[in-house]
Amino acid sequence: MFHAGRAPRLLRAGNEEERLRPLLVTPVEGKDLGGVLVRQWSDGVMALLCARAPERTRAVARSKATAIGVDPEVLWDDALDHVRAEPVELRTAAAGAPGPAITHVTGDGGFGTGHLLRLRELVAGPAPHGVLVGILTSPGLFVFHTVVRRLWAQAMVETFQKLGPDRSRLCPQRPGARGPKAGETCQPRRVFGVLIRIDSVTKRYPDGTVAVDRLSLEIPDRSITVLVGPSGCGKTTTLRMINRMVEPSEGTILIDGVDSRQQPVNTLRRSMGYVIQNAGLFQHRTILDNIATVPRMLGWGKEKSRARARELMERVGLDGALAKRYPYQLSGGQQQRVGVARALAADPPVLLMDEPFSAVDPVVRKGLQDELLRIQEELGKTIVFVTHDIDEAVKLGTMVAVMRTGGHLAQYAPPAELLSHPADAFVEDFLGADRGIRRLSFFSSAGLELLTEPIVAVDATAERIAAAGSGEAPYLLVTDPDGKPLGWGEPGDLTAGEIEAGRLLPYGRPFAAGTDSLRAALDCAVLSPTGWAVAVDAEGRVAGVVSQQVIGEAIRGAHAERSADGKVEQVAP
Amino acid sequence: MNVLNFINAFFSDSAHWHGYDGIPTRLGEHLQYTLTALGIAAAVGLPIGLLTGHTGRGGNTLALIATAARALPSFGLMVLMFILLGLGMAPVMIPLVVLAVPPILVTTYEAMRSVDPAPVDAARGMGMAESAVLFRVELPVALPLILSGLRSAAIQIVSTATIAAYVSFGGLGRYIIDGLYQRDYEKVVGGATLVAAMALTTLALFWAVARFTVSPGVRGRG
Amino acid sequence: MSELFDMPSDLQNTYFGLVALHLREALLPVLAGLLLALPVAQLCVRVRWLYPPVLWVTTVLYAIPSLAFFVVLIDYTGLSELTVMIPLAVYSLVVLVPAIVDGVRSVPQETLAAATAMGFGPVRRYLQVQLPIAAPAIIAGLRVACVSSVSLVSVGMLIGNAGALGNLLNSGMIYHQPRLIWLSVVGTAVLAILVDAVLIGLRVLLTPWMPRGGTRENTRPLAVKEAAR
Repeated sequence: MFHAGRAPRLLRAGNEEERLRPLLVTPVEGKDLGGVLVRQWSDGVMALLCARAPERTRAVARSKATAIGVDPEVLWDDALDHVRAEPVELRTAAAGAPGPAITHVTGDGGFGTGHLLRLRELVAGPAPHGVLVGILTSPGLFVFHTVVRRLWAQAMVETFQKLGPDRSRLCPQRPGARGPKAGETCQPRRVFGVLIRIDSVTKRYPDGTVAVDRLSLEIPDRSITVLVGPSGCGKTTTLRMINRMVEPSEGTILIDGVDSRQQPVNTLRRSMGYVIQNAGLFQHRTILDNIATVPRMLGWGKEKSRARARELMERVGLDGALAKRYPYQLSGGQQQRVGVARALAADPPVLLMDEPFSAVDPVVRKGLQDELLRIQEELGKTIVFVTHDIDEAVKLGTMVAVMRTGGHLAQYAPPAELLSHPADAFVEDFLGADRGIRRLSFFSSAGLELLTEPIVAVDATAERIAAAGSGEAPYLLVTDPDGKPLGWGEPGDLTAGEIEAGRLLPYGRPFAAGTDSLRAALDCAVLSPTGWAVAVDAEGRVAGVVSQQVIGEAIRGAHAERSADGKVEQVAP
Repeated sequence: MNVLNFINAFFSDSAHWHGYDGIPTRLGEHLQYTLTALGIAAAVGLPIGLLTGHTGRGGNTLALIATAARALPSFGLMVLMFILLGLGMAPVMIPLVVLAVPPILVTTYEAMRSVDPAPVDAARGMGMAESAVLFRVELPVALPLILSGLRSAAIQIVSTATIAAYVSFGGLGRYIIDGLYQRDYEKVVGGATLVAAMALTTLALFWAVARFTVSPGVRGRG
Repeated sequence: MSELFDMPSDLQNTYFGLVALHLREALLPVLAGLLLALPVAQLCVRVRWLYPPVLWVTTVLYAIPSLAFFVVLIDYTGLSELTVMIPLAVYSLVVLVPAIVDGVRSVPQETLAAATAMGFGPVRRYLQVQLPIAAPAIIAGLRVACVSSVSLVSVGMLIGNAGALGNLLNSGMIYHQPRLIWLSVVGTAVLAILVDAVLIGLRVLLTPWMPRGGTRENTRPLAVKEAAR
């Protein structure tokens, strides 16, 4: 039967039915209320969401997207022939907690919906607090069901008309969220990245040069895929073919299952963020207006676009005071952040980045790379990143595609596999020296056994020093009273009460216990003149020490684990 | 100094302020010639310049046009037109427009070509329509140079319109030409002052327009 | 055919005599302008803050219509050739100073540094390194100056028939002979184009180090300046 969770609190208690009535209805037999509810919606997002649904149910899909878009408290999902995982996907795509309560309407006695619920639990876990899932079933008589359905639909329409211009109640307040003003529309929901499939794509120029040669690639969603290679390998050309800045000579590119050529080109481009080297900022507009460009193009109001721009400035780590400045007043790194913010403004599912960090100096570049990783964790876009720097590729990429001059794909693999199993001499060459050591950054140091015996505080007693020195470690690590490392000393040289920090051997750079990679640990051990690495916790206090030998054993152990996965492990020289 | 005396005498003579030969009338005529010619020249030169600059084609043709136009003697052309077409607006307008279009055309073209290609590429990548790219991204950045082209065209028109008086037209040049024939140097100097003042005002006007229309982001870059 | 070039007797010159006169009246001022512009430009290059005010002054001077300029000088130099040549020299100066300054400034810093490191003194550096590299820009400025000069000389006709080929315009008007007017216009135009061509040839001769036709980057700033005159 019909369960009511928390009643939609925004409706004034009119009559009994109203109290239980959901706020929104998806179209029933063509009555599209979409236009009433949401005036603005990103074309690109709409295209993507509709692309999922087959032709005949596209209208339904569109209205579903619309319905979710206003962030309703209750979603009435009436799609008799549409009982599949799609609504669940859409709902999860609209994520945020708590999301809408969904009322599924089905005439199949609830079997389909039951299946749906189980699926949902598998996918997203048990329904969290506040989520209503109701099943209205009318067992048996199809006619009765239709009547009930129509009654409910009618009631919905009437409710709407009664609400009148006071649409503020359409978008319920969630803790922390700012609802729109009456009559204003809500922000489109956040959209996660989509899958891009590049299918045997070739780019041939009139003078005969082949920039890209039968490239086939599947770019997974919600991840960073890096295209890397020497100049002339076609990586930028490939990127620009995705948003049709360059048209492929042969082959297709499918974006979320839809051929990129099927849409009008500007609609496609507006649904993708595009970041280039040197940012390409509009020098005649303020930073804020630069970021707000795409939203304005999509028809958002000036105030809303600017508010969104401010939000994004914060997200990319720019000081809000820069909003009214002009590009020429910003540093290179800041300009690049503005470029990224501008690309994210309309919340596109795909982000295309063409060597965005090449033009800034290494320190700034590292900061920007870390920011990108952080942003990606929050937003989950599909990012296609082009670079000529293999280290950047390995650091950022979930998947790395190494391309050869002439537009051929040399290898396409996750960075760890790339480093351990380069496909051929070219890739190996491109990866450069100390590939083995770099690969260690993919092994965690969590399993390392840390010794705590050889650690003495600077104010330790003589017995303590003697006890510590009796172990196997040739040196003792001296810490300050807080537990932060000061340096290494020989047991024989340390006398209680007279330990001078200045005479201790430097401990090098410590690594974070458990979170840093084996590479960091090895690096620390090598840096220290004693050959031992110091592990610290989050506050900088010593968690333990470990010798190079132990680290070495851990490395061998990690290799062994990998080969145990079934891959034939060739010992990296 | 004689010159200053002349100027003083000219402007204090109240007769000079009235009638068909009065300063206001002549000024009005000159303004009319200038504005009309500038308007037509801009209407022809700006669109072509913007389009060719945006697409990048036709640069060589434009360079040729520029050289050819500079080689044409403005004065001679005007007399020629007068001989061929007699009195009327056409003989004045044709040389003025023919002489003003090339600077506008070529400068607009060069201004658009000199725009940094990176923001243009970014704009296209963002899905901006071509016309939006032209007007919202390229034009604001190219504006200072375009304005300078318009300005030199305007100055040139003011200057040549002065000479139009030789072939019986009105305008401020009338004072100079008549004064030369009548040996009335008061008139000559007065006319010269007026013309110079008008040219300088044009300069100032363009400077003001640039101040208000050019974005600080473009000005600040230098 | 010979009647084509018949001149009215009061001009006391043959057609080609007039052409020669025209050339002299047009090119001498440019030469004078060049000689004056070189030191002024060098000063502007050395003393950076001097350039913007100088640029202002030149813009203002260039804006003043030629006729106005001519007539103001009548009081001092009478109705003679000089009255025409002085303003033309000023106009040339006005065009050449920015051309030279931009040309000299366009010499790459690295080149100058190399020259200094090799022991070139300031004067030698100016004459042997900066000027030669700035030559294309200077010649572009010269082209503008010469062509404008040739065109403006005709206006001198109003100042006591000091207009060389421009005088033909007057004769044409008085004697109702359109032929004379055509001769004047066509002659002046052809002269201007010829002078332009000679200067281009000069540039090609003087700068064998430049790619033929000029690269886009080299010719573009020149073209802008040229067209903006």
